[in-house]
Formats: sequence, C-alpha cells, structure tokens
Amino acid sequence: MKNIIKYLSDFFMVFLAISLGFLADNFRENYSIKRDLSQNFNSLINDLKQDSINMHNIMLLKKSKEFEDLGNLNNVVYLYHKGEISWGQMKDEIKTLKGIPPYSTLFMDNSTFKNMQSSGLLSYIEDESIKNRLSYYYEVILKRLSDNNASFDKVGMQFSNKDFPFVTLNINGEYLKEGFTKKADDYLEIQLNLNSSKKILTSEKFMFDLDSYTGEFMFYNGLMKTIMSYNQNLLKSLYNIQNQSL
Amino acid sequence: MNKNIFKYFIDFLMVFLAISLGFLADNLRENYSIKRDLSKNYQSLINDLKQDSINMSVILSRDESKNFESLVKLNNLIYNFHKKNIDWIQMKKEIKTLEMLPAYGTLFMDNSTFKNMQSSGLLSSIDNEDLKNELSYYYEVMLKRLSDNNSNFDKIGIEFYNKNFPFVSLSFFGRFVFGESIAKKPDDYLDVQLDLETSKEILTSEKLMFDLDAYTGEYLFYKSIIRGVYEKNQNLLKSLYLIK
Repeated sequence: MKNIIKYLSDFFMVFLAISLGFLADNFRENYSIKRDLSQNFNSLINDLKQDSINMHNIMLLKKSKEFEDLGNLNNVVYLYHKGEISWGQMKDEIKTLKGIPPYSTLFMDNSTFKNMQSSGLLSYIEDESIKNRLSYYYEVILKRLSDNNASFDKVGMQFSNKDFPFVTLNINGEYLKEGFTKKADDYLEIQLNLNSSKKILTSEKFMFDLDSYTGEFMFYNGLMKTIMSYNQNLLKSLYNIQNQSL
Repeated sequence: MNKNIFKYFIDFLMVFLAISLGFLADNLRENYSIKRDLSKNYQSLINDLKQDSINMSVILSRDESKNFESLVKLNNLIYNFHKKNIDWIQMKKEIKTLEMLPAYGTLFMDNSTFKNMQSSGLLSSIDNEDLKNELSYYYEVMLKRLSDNNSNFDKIGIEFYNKNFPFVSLSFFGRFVFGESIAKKPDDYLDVQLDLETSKEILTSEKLMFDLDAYTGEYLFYKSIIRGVYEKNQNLLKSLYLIK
C-alpha cells in the first residue's frame, strides 16, 4: 500500500511537472503573440500614416494652380467649339496656363499586412471589425486602386505624350527648366505658332481627349477621397487599440 | 534481484505514463486551440463572403438601373439609324435624353482570411472535405477567373468610354465633371459637343455599332460571371453557417 502511494505520488509529480512546463510554454507563446500583434499594429499605423500623407499630396492637386488651369483649358476648348472665341484668343489663353495636373498615382504600403497574413497573425486579432476592415483595405481597396492606377497611367500617358504634347505644360516641363536641356523662355510661344499646334488644339478630337483626361483625373481624385476615409477610420481604431493596451 | 527489476519496471511505467499523459493533455489543448482558431477563421470567412456578396449585389442590380436602360436605348438607336428608320437629327435628339451609361465596375474579392488559413496551415485542419474543396475552388479558381475577366472588362471599358464613345456627359465620369469644382462643365456641354462634326462621325459610324456591341456583350458576359460567383458564394455561406 505504501509503495502504491509512493508510485502514485511520483506519477503525479512527473505529470504535473510536464503539464506545468507545457502551460508555461503556452503562456510564453500567448505573450509573444500579443507582443508581436502590438508591434505589428504599430507598423500598420506607420504604413497607414505614410499612405495618408501620399494621398493627401495627390488630393492637394485639386486645390492647385494646375487644376485651375485644367478647368481653364476645358473652358477655352469649349468656348472655341461654341464659336465664342477665335484661335488667336485661344492661343493667348493657353500661353497664360502654368500647366496641367500630372497623373500622379498612389502606391499603398501593405508589407505589414502581408507579413501578418503569412505568419498567421491575422487570426489572432480579437476585434473582428478591425480584422474585416484591414482585409477590406488591403485586399479589396488595394486591388481596386492598382487597377485604377493602370487606367489612369494609360490615359495620362496618352494625353501627355500624344493628345496634348506640349512639354512645357505637362509634368515633364518641370525637368526642362534647368540644365543642358533647358527649354528657351519663348519655347511654348514658338510651338504654339506651329500649324500642328493649331491642328491639335482646335481639333474636335482634342475636346474628347481632354474630357477623358479630366474625367479620369476627377474620378481618381474621388477614389482617393474614399480610400482616405477608410484609411482614417482604420488609423483611429488602431490608435484606440494601442492606447488601451498601454 | 527480481524485486529490484520489478521496482525499476514500475518506476519506468509511472514515468512513461506521466509523460504520455502530459503529452496527451498538451495534444488536447492543441486540438482545442486549432478548433478555436478554425471557428474564428470561419467567422472571418463568413464576413469576407458577406462583403463579397454585397459588392456583387451592387453590380448585379445595375440591370434594373436607368443606366442599363440607356445602354439598351443606345443600342436600339444605333440599330434604327443603320436600318434607316431614323436620321441623324432624330438620333441626336434621342441621345440627349439618355442617362449616363453603366460603368464597367469590377469586383474585387476579399481573400485575406483564406490566404491567412493557407499560410498558417489551418486549411488542412478542416475535416469537411467538401467545404475545403469548395473554399479552394472559390478562392483559387473563381478568383483567378474573375481577375482575368476584370482585366478584359477594364480594357474594353476604358477603350469604349475614352475612344469609341467619348461623351463625358454620358459616361460615369459625368458625375465628377458636372459636380461642383473649377473644372465643372457648362450645362449645354453635351449640346455643343453633339453639334460637332466629329460627334456625328463617331455616332453614325458603322464602327460604333460594333464597338457598342463589344461593350454591351462584355458587360452582359461579366454579369453572368458575377452571377456564377454569387451562386458559389451563397453556397459557401450556407455551408459555413451550418458548421458554425
């Protein structure tokens, strides 16, 4: 009887020691997951903050002189085809333009999300709403953005290089203001006096091309606004989580 | 001697049993944890699928919209013009009454939970083979088919609205360029544009008849794809609800 009790107590000692070992390892693992999550939330905040700065810069284009000039160019072309102004007046107006807004696109940083996804850390986020919003932002919105980047680039390149090829008035103009390839001050004036310029700018085709670019520009800006609101909501939620865990 | 061997044997048995039971307890804990993770991931899958189905419903409901009616009306106008039932003046008048044509909005599925399950190896812990196959088919086959069709639809849509039928007032860009901003178009913009010789050339050209067919065909084909994806989506949702 005494022996049986001794054996049983030995058994429980070893069993308890091993189980406690596993339990301790489990606690360590849970702690490590929580620490990794917190670190990843911080990285997500940084990624989202960087996105929002980039979006803000793109959205600022709508308040720029270039955007105002895009409106002016649209108006000049419309008035010309309505027969209210002549080619001479149109040319004078175009000379006063600073340039048209570039087709800048946004590239979102999804490295932290990809890291969380591949390490399986995503399933440890307890807040279902954050998890859903994160996946929607990085899986749905990012793909939609990539598609729209491609469309905007295509329309933008066609417009700047073929439909409205006045380098001093487009995005490349910035680079031709200094250095060996600096354009002469009267470059635009000389170019506008060419027959080809008249042909391009007074053509009915140009009215449609300008519409395409303007439409795509405004549409892309609308998309930026939508993404910005998702971005700001996510940032708020992540800040809240981080503050709660402090 | 015999007594000692028996004692060692009992000692060995006790330690062996204790260690085995310890592993068993950990195994049970691990199984519980896998089940808990699976359950959480099922919930996330349900949320992803629900979001997909909402987005699909939006695309599918376009059939009933005014925009879709305009597309049908434009098809009829072009047909009647080439059948000589109407002339350019009548056609122009009718075009002015059109609403915006439907946009080439595409669907982007949210596959983050599936990818997370795939990379964490949780997918192999799903006991229900049918569900596992349905999930992989939805997220691997259908998603790739959809991505391919998104590219095609985008390509045809961009070409159609920027080159073949470049009337900004009648495309989905209209709501952006007629909204309040510096670049806002005047109210008579479409009238002025339709009076241009180029507009007549575009709208009365035989080429537009084919281009419009291509866009309309692609639009309807894309919707049929969405209907197929929607059906699968609803089946998966049902299966997941049953499991939950």
